[in-house]
This record gives sequence, C-alpha cells and structure tokens, in this order.
Amino acid sequence: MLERLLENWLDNASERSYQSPFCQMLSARGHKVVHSTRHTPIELGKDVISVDPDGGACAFQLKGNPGSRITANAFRELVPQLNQLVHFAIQHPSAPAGPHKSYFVTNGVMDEDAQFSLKALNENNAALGHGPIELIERGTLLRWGVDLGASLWPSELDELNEILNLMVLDGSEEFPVERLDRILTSVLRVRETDKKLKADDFRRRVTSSALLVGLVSGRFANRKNHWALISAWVLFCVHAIGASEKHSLSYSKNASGAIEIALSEIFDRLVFLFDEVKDRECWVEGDIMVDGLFYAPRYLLLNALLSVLYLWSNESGVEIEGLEELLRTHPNSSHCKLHVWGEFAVPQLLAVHWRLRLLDATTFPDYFLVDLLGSVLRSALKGEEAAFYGPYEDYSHHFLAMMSREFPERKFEAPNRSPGRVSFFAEALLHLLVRTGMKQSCKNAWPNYSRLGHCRFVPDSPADYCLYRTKNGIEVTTQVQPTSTWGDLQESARSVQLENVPKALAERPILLLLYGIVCPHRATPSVIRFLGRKFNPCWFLGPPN
Amino acid sequence: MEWFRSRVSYHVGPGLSDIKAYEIPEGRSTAFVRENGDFEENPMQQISADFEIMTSDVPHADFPFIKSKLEDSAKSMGEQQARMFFDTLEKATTKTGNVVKARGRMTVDDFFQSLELIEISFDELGRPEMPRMVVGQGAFDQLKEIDKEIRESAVLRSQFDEIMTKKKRKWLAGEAARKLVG
Repeated sequence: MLERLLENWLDNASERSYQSPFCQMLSARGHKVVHSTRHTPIELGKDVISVDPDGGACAFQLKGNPGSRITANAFRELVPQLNQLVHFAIQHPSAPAGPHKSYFVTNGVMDEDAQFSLKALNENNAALGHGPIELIERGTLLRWGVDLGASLWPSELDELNEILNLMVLDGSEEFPVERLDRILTSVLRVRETDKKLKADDFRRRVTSSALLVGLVSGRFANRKNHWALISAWVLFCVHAIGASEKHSLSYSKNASGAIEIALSEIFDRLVFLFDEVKDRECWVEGDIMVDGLFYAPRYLLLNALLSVLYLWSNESGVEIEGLEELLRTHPNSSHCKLHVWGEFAVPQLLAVHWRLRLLDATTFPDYFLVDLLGSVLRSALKGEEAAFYGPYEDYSHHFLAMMSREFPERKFEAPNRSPGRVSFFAEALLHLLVRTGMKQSCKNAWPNYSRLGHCRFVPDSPADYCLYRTKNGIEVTTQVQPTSTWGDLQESARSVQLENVPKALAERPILLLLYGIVCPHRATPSVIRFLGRKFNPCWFLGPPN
Repeated sequence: MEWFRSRVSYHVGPGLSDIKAYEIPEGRSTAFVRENGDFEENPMQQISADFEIMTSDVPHADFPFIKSKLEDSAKSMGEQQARMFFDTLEKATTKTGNVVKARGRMTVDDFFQSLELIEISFDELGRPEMPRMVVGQGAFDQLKEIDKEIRESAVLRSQFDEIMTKKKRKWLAGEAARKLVG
C-alpha cells in the first residue's frame, strides 16, 4: 500500500517537487548535500551538489518526466545541459576541488535508444578525460524511497487515513499542519508513550518523515502553493529538532543534514513567491466578488513572508535581486495597508516590523510597533464579543465570526473567544517598545496594559515546545501591578532568555520566526524578546541578560 | 451534539449556564499569577457521564427513549460542572477570606457585608458593573425581601449608596494608580 503511494507520488511529481525528497535520500545514503537551491550563484548544469561518503564531489542534473519515457529525441535536447554537468568544474566552496562524479536523475524511464545515446556521450566524454554520467531513474528512486522511507511509515489505520487525506487534497488550500503533526509525531516517535530511539533508527526516521512530507505535499507543489509547502517543511524541521531532544540524541549528528535540505526548500519557496509577485501590479486572487474578504489577511501574510526572505537574505548574505526594491517601492508593499485581524497575525506583523527596521532608518518602524501594541490592547479590552481571537485561532475562525455577525439567521459555528481582557502578545510587544526607548509611548500604553491578563503557554520541555499541541505544559495568565516603574519594565525587557526552546532552534532564528508565523501560539513572549534582539539592532537598554 | 450541549448547559443551572465556555487547546492546567505574585494552578478536570442500553431495550428504543437517556447524562454532566465550579470558588474564597456566613436567615447586614468584600468595577460613564449573584431558591426569596427593605428605608438606602460611593472611590483610585513611573 505505502509503496503504491510512493509510486503514485513519483509518477506525478515535477522536477521541482521531488528535488527536496531526492536530497533527503542522498543525505540518508551518506552524502553531504552542499547545494540544492536554485537561488544561489548558478552552478552550471548542476541542480544538486553533494560530497559522497568517500569524500568525492558529485553533481546531479534533475529532470521531471513523471510517468513518461525519455526518448532519443528528447535526450538530444538535454545534451548541452549534460555537457555542462560534466565539463564545468564545481565551483562551490564546500565541495572538494578536482574532478567530480556526474549523475543524470529522472523520475521517468529512459528509452533504449536514449540509453545508447547516453553511452555514446559517455564514451565521447571519456576520450576528453571526463568521467561517465551515471543514470538514476524511476526504479532506483523508488527502491531508495522504499528502503529509506516507506518501510518506516505508519501502518496504523488512523495515520494511514491522515496520509491519504492529505494526498487527495486539492493543493490550493492552507496546509493542514495539525494533520501533518499527527503523522510526524507517529513516525518520529515523539508521543508521550513512545520509548527513546537509538541513533540509527532515529536518523532513518528523520529521512522517512522528510520523504513523507514530500509525498503528502505533492499536490501543493504541483499547484505552486508555496505558503503551504513552507508550512509543511517548517513543521518537519521543528519536529525533527524536537524529536532529537525527546530521544536525547545529538541534533547535529542525526538531524541537521535533513533540516538543512528542508531549509533550502523553504528558502527556494520564499524566492518563488517573490518571483511570482514581483511583476504583479495587482495581488487580487480567485473570485473577485469574494476576494475582498480574504485580501487583507493574504496581503499581510505575503508581506510577512517577503519580510522573512529579506531578513534571511540579509543574514545569509545571499542577495535576492529586486527584493529590496520591491519592498521599498511596490505600491502593494505599503505598510499602511496592513490590517491586524487577530492575535494569530501578530508574528506576521512582527516580521514586517523587523524588516522595516532594517530598511527604514526613521522612527517609523517604532511607531508601527506603537500602533500594533495599541490595537492589541484596545481589542483585548473590548470584551468577548469584539476582541481579537487568540493565537490558536486562524483567519477561518475570524471569518466565521464575521459571517455569523452579518448573517445571524444562518448558523455559522464560530468558536467562542477567550473571555476578554487577556492577550498573548501585549507583554512581548511592550517589551520590544521599551527597547526602542520610547518611554512616553510606553507610559501611554501602561494603563490599558495593566488592565489585562497576560497569557503564555509554558511547555514542560524543549521537546514539548516543538509539538503543535501538547498536554505537557501550563497556560499561565499573569496580572501585573497597576503601578510599575520604568526601571523595572526595562529590566524585564532586557531578557533574551528562551523558555524551554531547543538550542538547535535558537541557533536558527529564521526558522524560529517562521515557526511563530505557522504556529503563533509558539511565539511566546520569551521567543519574541529573543527574536527582537536578533533582528532589531536598536537597543536603548543595558546589556541583554 | 448541539442539543446535548444545550441540555448540559440547562442542567448547570441558571446564571452559570450564561458563562461562555471556550477551549483551552493544550496543557494539563491553567495558572494565574496575581498582582502580588501569588501563583495558583488549576489542573484540568474531567467530567463524564455514561449510559447503558440493554439489548432488551433496543426493540423499544424510540426517540423519546434515547432522548431520556441522553437527558440523564446531560443532567449528570451539568451537575458535575456546577459542583466543580462551586468547589473552585469555595477554595478561592476560603483562601482570600472573602466569606460571609449568614447565621440562619440572610439579613441586610449580611448583604452589605458581602458587598463590602467583593470588587466592583465601573464603566466609562461611571456606572457600576454589578456582579451576578448565584443563589438557591430560598436565598433568592430572602434577597428579594432584602432588596425591598433597602428600597423602602431611607437609612438603608443611604448605607447602600455609601458602600457604592466607597467602591467607586476605590475603583477610581485604582484606575489613577495605573501608571508607569520614573
């Protein structure tokens, strides 16, 4: 059954959508993948570059031929690219110098005639002193997939049902992270009753779950639903990190390879998103009659994701041509149009705030924060009928509440809001504001701030932090004293200590930020204070503690 | 399901059933840190009810029969929920000392004393946001009499007004203290 699913996925996967799972399989076979992204300086004819277990450099050219055969004619068209693959030396700094091995990878099958052509090409290249191009086709990929992935996939009916449910989705919707969470916790054995795994087993399970993510997100990839793919791969990375904590295994020895590949995929998806929007004047999507109801949250999300890409490119030094210009000048990237529709959206707005801070030397980004804090405080004081939904409720809840207000005669089941006067984000936002030194704005905000209960979820362990939902933790609501001093507030705002967040996640602030966007309930005050320190160089306080 | 929920709500009792329920999506408990730093943890508690249908009942198990079984379960769950609520309330009030024990019949003095102990906030127009009292039928009748007594006696009315003025002053002082100094 699971093999059939794998076969079905491979026969429908485009070149782009099987690249990441292919890299995961290479990694599990002992390769160190050093390049798999399309958006770093171009490696001619080489989609993937790795170092094999013997220390030799390997270059791979991938082609997507789902469910089809490569004929001799089609092969002839590929020859220029294959010559580049063989003839041009690898320039990547992490790859060893000297000759490299070349591989041509397809998820289709090569005709006999095409195989003769490849043989002839290899003989020709041998005469010039180059090594042969080895062929990896559908059968090999399937075998690898079965060995490394499917044999460890859950066979219990419930989880199998989840896999099938994800595979038959249209691919244009939001990625159902809750369902993926159930599958990943099963494969990675991070449920409460699961016993600790040994390193070998754990490594195989990490690869296996990465393949599973590739499989269940196949339709989303075919639809170029980049946000959905980002959500899925972020969840995979965080679960793999959490699982290494749970099993008390070294993250760097057992999971980092798979996570680096997934991060490359996330980076690529952000760039694809940018490529898609950069030339569009209008960001309207789908049915124009109803898009107005979804435009604002989508617009904010897009801004947030482009902001993450900007922060990422800034951190890694990889320049994305045209990104800064788009963020500075595109009529749709105006921050004035951003709309806070609920606490779920706060991490998105923070990504925008931190990007603004890097691009705008005026006090505008600080006032952006003042406005955001003001909105959160005012909303929380409105009472349960009008307050924002909390970080656990996405736009669909907000939308249902709007619908039930507009059409009371129809029974739209919007969940109840928390009973007012609480916020999950006010504390962190105020602390970020304190760091900017805007004392008067903080004083203005204080009366409303002190009227609220300040909520946060405290997981019991770093492994629990990485789960989408966990029983192991406490939801804490804190009531502050009505009067406080600026000095005390400054002292609290200086803290950059994380509360039960894995070290491996703290070392990847971009991933932590993306996790906060995908799962806003994990953007706790300590996480936001920590990220604020990473992304905002302005600091008008004593040294962080 | 909706029907069952509404029946549970009915059996929780008047007053309490108006309190909106909302989901706490994760964690084993909730905790509250008070202004003075006191930490109170409230573990999640389970309420459940089950019912039995004998195979001999099945031939006669029509809608009224099934509904009566569900009604029994809803009643049991509603009662458990109410008990849980009052247990928690009692623990909290015992801890803070916010308890007025009426000896026998409730008197106007008992009522005033309980008003003194509770916190009352005011809206932006200065109107008190009076808390809701949850009482049994006997106490309800007594409260009606107390209300009548206060309305008819100028002395008691001025005593009541005095308490409310004191409450308002306290609330205003609290609001004025909401500031960041230094």
